[in-house]
Amino acid sequence: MEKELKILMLEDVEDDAGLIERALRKSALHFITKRVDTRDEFVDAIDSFQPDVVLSDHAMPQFNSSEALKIFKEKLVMAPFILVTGAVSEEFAVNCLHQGADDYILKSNLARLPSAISNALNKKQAEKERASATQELRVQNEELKKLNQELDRFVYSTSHNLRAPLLSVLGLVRLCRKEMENGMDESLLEYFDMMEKSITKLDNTLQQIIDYSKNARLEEELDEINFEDLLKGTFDYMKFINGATKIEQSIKVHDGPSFYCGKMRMGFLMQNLISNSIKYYDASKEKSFVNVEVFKNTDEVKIVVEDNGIGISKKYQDHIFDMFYRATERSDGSGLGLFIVKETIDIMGGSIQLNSEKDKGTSITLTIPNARR
Amino acid sequence: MTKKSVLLVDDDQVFNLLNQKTLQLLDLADEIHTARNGKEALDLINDYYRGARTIPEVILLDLNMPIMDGFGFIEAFQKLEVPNKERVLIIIVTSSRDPKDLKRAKDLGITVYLSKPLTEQDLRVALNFN
Repeated sequence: MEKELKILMLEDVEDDAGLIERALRKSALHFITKRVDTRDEFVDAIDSFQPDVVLSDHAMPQFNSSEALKIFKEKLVMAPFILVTGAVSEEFAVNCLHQGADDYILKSNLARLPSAISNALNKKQAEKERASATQELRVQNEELKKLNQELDRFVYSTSHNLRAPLLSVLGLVRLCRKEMENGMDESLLEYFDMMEKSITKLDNTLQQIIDYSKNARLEEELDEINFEDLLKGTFDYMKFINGATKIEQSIKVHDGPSFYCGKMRMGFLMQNLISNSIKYYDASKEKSFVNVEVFKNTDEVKIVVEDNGIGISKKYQDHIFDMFYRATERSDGSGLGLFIVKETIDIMGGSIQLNSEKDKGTSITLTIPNARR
Repeated sequence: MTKKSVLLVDDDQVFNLLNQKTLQLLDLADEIHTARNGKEALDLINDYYRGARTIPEVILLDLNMPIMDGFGFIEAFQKLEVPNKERVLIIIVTSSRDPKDLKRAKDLGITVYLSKPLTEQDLRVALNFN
């Protein structure tokens, strides 16, 4: 059954109200009515009765339709406002419509009232839909603008970081030629080494940009994560990094319920964090270590990656997750690793916490929600 | 043209080496120093004023560097209260094409902005500016 239409009548003459109701009953409308004839009652009824339609007489002893319309506007009521009145001049009627009334009906022609009500309701509904569509468009537009700005920034930073190694190769090629023209060839092998390094760096940066788009943009299927296997595999994969063999590694996975998330993303996170711990080990310390500890509960997993490496001094810590940020001379990386880590964690709905002290070491804690619980 | 004292600041050692070798080939500089970031460059500058070295007349400065970037260096350098500072010409050398970087450099009063890698012609012009 159709919802009952709540009609608020602003009418001081009870007989007129009766006539209006009778006219309405002849139509197919399901409705209830409430009748008021003072300002206070009207204001109160707007809030308590929440009318779907207001039918208003023009002049009542203590109130009139113009004032009612004003209140209506102030309260931003969306319901149609229809004037139902005795004979009025055309000028008055037009004036009412200007003030915001949706229609006017003469009491001598109440037969038109039901169709006027449904027309006005349809009109309001359309207005509402248009307004919400406009609002939605506005929001989407803002989002697109923001995305576009991010893309611009990304393109600038990326192109800079891709061009740098390329331009160094260009410079080296020119220098090689110049020196060969001058009959100097003792440095050529050194230059070839440099070119090779630059090209490898360029390739790494490109690989990371691909990782970024894979991790950040793709939808991934959920897998149950076997942390022992994943971490052992990660450490195994890292064993060719400079210094890896000198570093004591430990994995501790505490018992807990099954944990689900995208396996590729989790692998990517572990690879980045563990390789950082290995790359930035502190050779001046007698023993270096990287410990990974995993705590699971039904809701989430907490992973702590801890090392006693060179650490990050406080002043760089705010920027450590920025795109292309490098905090140390020792970094030959692209400055993308932790940026992508952060993006990935955001997408997984988790959080990352950094605890680091220069020369002491770094501990990173990831908290990632269980995707299936 | 007199030879200049030049300070090369870039975290990418390849560019420092390239510029150094080219300057040597062209015989444009009588003294060349290198720094790997703004902080190292600033330390070197302070050395000059402690009498340890001669003042660099031209600084070829990269923007994107760890520890202290090019902009950080310029700001710190401008705050230094030392004599003959106006004799030092800072030239930005970068692969960045970000208009924001350009604007920021301009705002800091740096008007010479060159693209990597510097050609022989670039270096000739750069060292002849002041």
